[in-house]
This record gives sequence, structure tokens and C-alpha cells, in this order.
Amino acid sequence: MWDGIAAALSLASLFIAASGVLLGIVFGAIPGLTATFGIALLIPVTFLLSPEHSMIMLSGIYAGAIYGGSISAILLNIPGTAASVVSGWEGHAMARRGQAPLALGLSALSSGVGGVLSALALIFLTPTLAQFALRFGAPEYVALVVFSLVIVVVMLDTPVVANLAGVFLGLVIASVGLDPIQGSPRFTFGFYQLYSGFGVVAVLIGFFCMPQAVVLAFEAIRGDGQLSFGRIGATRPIVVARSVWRNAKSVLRSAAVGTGLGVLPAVGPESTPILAHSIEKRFAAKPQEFGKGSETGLISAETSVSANVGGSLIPLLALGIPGSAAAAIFVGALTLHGLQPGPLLFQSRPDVMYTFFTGFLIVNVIMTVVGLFGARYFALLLRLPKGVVASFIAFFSIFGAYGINSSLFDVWIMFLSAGFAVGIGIIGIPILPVVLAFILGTILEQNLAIARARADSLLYLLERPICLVLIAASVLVIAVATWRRIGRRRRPADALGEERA
Amino acid sequence: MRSVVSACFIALLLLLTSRALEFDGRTGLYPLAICLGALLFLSWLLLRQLAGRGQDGGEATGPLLGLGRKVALRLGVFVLAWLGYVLLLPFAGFILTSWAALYLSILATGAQRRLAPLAYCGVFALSVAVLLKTVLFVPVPEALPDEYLDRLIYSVVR
Repeated sequence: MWDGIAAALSLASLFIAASGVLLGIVFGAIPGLTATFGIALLIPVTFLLSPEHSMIMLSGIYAGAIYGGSISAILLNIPGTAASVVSGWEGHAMARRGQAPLALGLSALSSGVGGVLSALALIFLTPTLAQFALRFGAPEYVALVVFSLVIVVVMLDTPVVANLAGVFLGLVIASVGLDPIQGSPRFTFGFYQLYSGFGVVAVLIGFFCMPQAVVLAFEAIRGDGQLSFGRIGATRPIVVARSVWRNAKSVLRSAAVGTGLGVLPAVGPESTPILAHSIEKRFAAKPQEFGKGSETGLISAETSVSANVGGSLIPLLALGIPGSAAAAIFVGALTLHGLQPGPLLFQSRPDVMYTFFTGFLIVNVIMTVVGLFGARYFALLLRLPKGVVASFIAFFSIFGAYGINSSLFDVWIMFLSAGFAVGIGIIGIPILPVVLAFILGTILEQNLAIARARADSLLYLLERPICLVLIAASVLVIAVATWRRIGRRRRPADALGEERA
Repeated sequence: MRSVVSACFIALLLLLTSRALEFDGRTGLYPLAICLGALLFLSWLLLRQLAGRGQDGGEATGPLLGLGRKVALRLGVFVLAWLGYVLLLPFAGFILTSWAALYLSILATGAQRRLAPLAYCGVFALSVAVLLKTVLFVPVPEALPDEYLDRLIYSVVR
């Protein structure tokens, strides 16, 4: 453990953490680029690094991008990422009052504090959860994957039938390759390159990066070119620190909300700040200020969003179940280094885990410092023409897919995945269930096969307590979601009935 | 457009389901079940859309629906530039194709200046090529310019 911590404090690790944070802020600050996209694009680069350095860099990109989205949100009311919508409400109102430096500073410090608190949760909860997960057998993994997919299906805002279609499509994509039991090729259509299945990294780049390049190109062609804003003054750290200290209770509550929601697979950093903002409004002495430039509102949003980052990594590292789309892409990075996320990773490579934990803590500290003193300089990135950004994204997407195996076949897989992502977007199927099912599909099938081999019937699953609890939880989630949907449909009908009466 | 895309996906799933029916015994159950599940929910979604209860395209693709002719043409050039890049890469080498693809795609997206992008795309392609040969060691397809660069780097290093 101490070796791992010492490795994270080395100059190389600090340099990599800082590079990740800076790159992440760049990706987050430019509207149209997201944390998920940034991580997917830079996975091939991490191939040159050691596993722990890869994870530190990717977590730096993740944390930096989530924070970076608030820069354009505050200055222009254009969220750099979907997670910065609430920051735009509060921060932009403050900027219009001439308080842009204070808003940028509050965003940086509260993001950093939220990130550090979730890093502490990651450090203390993950090993405990991983120890517990060592009791998992094949039936428990089947139940856990089913529970994760149920959460995604019922908690997303899109229609349940669209989410279910997405899950099954993801499972179909994951089934391409060699049959895990018989070893015969399945759905490969004669391509031997598909015997090991679709490459995770090429598929993820195709899902998240290439379509975004096309959308940015479209916006540039349509004339949504460049953005402009005035000169921004320097932030005063002491003023910022005093404001955050005054709102300490909000910070702690928002961090708890962000970390807790981050653990759930479907609740990413996009919806977390809205919930945290609503909760703080109820506790606020002056709730009428929320949405009109409230410092507490901005602090709660930024703290919860950054806390969500660490929270989403807890189930990934402890159980192998990603807590968000961006965390799902970490699986690709770990796979590239021959590591399987889950409880056994703590036993086989504890050095990697402890280096990463310390590195993640350091990443959040670096992000705070960079944000406090450098946010106004990152704002210059907002002046880059979208057409140029789109072209370079396309180049790096192709090169990223090629670089994994130096094979053009992976590039075609990337294009195919991009076409698939555009296609399901047109139909109205969200990408998150597809990604989650694609990542978890192999785990589900293998463990299902093992569980069936050991048991005569499915009742075997109900004889194991952990499995029973997970199945009961899945049924409960479905029941609650169904009851709420029925309630929502009845309310307009009841209102109509009252009107007629 | 939505119905056409849905129909394509359903046709693909029907093909996969027919393949799954050919797998032996119990090992064919899982792929058959997931193909049928995907077919069922996709068909249900298509029926909802035909009945007028469907939703608009997702966030990433919503804006792409309903393109004007000029915009569609330029966007087509952007996409073709990168498809062409991958097709020509094995024949024309990394430096030339990267330079051409970047320049063409920047022009297609409406760049005001013509010479500046030509210059910085060339510098970028050359810089990445040098990085690939000296630091990253990623083998890329080569043509004459790439071979000249190889010889230059070798003579400098020697």
C-alpha cells in the first residue's frame, strides 16, 4: 500500500495527473466535447503508460472535463458539458452582475472539494466493497448485471421500450466473437478479426467521438461558428474560500448526494446537479435567489457533479460495474492493459489500486489550483472555430482506433459503430443502455453458463442470499418505477375529470 | 427516415436470429434469446413511432434531421474526406493523406481562409509523423514522403 502511495507522489505521476487535468479542462470547456468523449479519444494514448498512470491520467481527464464544462456555462450560458447546465443558470447570472471571477473561483474550489470528498469515499469504500464482492459467485454476478441493467432501463428519462431495445442491442453486439463454451465463431460472418469480439476501444470511440465530430462539423457549416466575451479579471482565492466555508453544510450534503448517485449505473453527472440544487434550495435561507445567481446554488451544483466522478468509479473498481458512461470507458483502458476491473484486481494488483487512489486525490487538488488561477485563460479556447475542432476530432478518432492494433480493420469497426450510434440516435434509443450492456454482456453470458452448469433450475439463484437480495431489489425498482408511471398517467386524466365535473 | 433506419435494424436482427437458430443445442439459447429480445423491443418501438407516439432523434443526432441541400453537401464532403482518408491510407501513405483529409474537411466546414489551413495542416501531419517514428513507434502505411522522412530522421540521428 505504501509503495503504491509513494509511486503516486513521484514526479512522473504528478506530471501525468496535471496533464490529464489540463487536457480534461480543455475538452470540458469547448462546447460539444464531453468528458466521455475525451476519455474515449485518449485511451489509445494511455497505452504508452503503465496501468496506474493510465488510470490517473484518465481520471484527471474525467474530473477536469466535468469541471471545465462550467467555464463556458458561466461565461456564455452555453454548458461545455451536460453536467454544467445548473452552473450556467447560477454562474452566468453572477457573470452578468460583474462577478465572473468569483463564479469561476467558486466553481473551481467547490469542484475540488467535492472531488476530494468523493476520492476519500473511493479510498475507504472500494476495498470494503471489493472484499464483500469476493463472496460473489456466478449467480451473484448474473443478478448484479441484471440489477444494473434494470436500473438503467427504469431510471433514464427515455421510454422504457427504447431503453430495453438499447440493452438488448448492446447484448447482441457483445455476443459477437467466439462462443465462450464451445469456442465456435458466432456472428463473425467469416471475419477472423472478430473472433475476439468487437474491440472495446474502437467501438467506444465510434459511439462517442466520431458522431460528435459530425455534429460539430454540421454546426460549423450551419454558421454556429465562434463565440465572444469580454475581458475577465483574476479570481481572489481568499474571497472564494470564505464563501465556500460559509456554505460548508451545503458542500457536505451535495458531496454525499453526488457520490451516492454516482454509484448507480444510470445516474451520471448530467442529472446529479439538478437534484443537489433542488435539495439545497429546500434548506436555503433565501430560496428565491436560486436560479438568479446564488452562490450556494452554484456551489451545490459543482460539488455534487465532481463528487459524482469518484462515486461512479466505486462500483467499477469494486465490482466491475461502471457507474456512468465515462466510467464504462475506463473498462476499455483497463482491458488495454490486461486488467479486469473487479474485486480480484485488489488481490492481483493492489499497487495499481493504491497508486490510483492517491493519484485521484492529487488530481482533484491540481484541478482546484488550475481552476482558481487559470480558468480565465482556458476561456480563450472558446474562440476556436468549430470546423477546425471537428476536423481534428475526426483525425484523432481514426488514429485512436488504428493505433490499438495498427489495423485498419479497427478503424472500419469504429466507423460502423459511429454509423450504429447515429442510427439508434435517429430512432430515439439512448446510447447509455447500449454501452452498459455491451460492457457487461460477456460477464452476463459467462456467469449464466456457469450458473446453469451447476444447477438444474433457476431456483438455485433464489437459494443464495446475496442473489436473492439483488433479484428482490430489481423487482422492487421495477415495481416502484411502474407505480410512478401509472400515477403520472392518471394525474392528467384526473385533472381532466375534475374540469369536466 | 426514422422508420427506414428502424427497418434496417430489424432486417439485420432477423439475419442474426436466423444465424442463431443454426447454433447447436443449449449454447444457441443465449444468442437466440437476446436477438429475439432486441427484435421484439425494436419492433415495438417502430410500431409506437408509426402510431405517432415516437420521440425525436437523440441529442447527438436531432440537429442532423432535416438538412438543407447545401449543408448536406458540405457535410457529405466532410464525411467522405475521412472515409477516403482510410481507403487511400495504404496507397498514399500517412503524411499526404492526413494533410489532404484535414485540409479538405476544414474547407468543407466553411473555413474563411484557404492558405492558412493548408500550412498548419501540413505542419501538423508532419509533426505527428515525426512523433510516430521517434517517440510513439506506431507503424503507419508509408509512401514516398514518409520514406524521405524516415531517411532524414535516420541521417540526423546517426
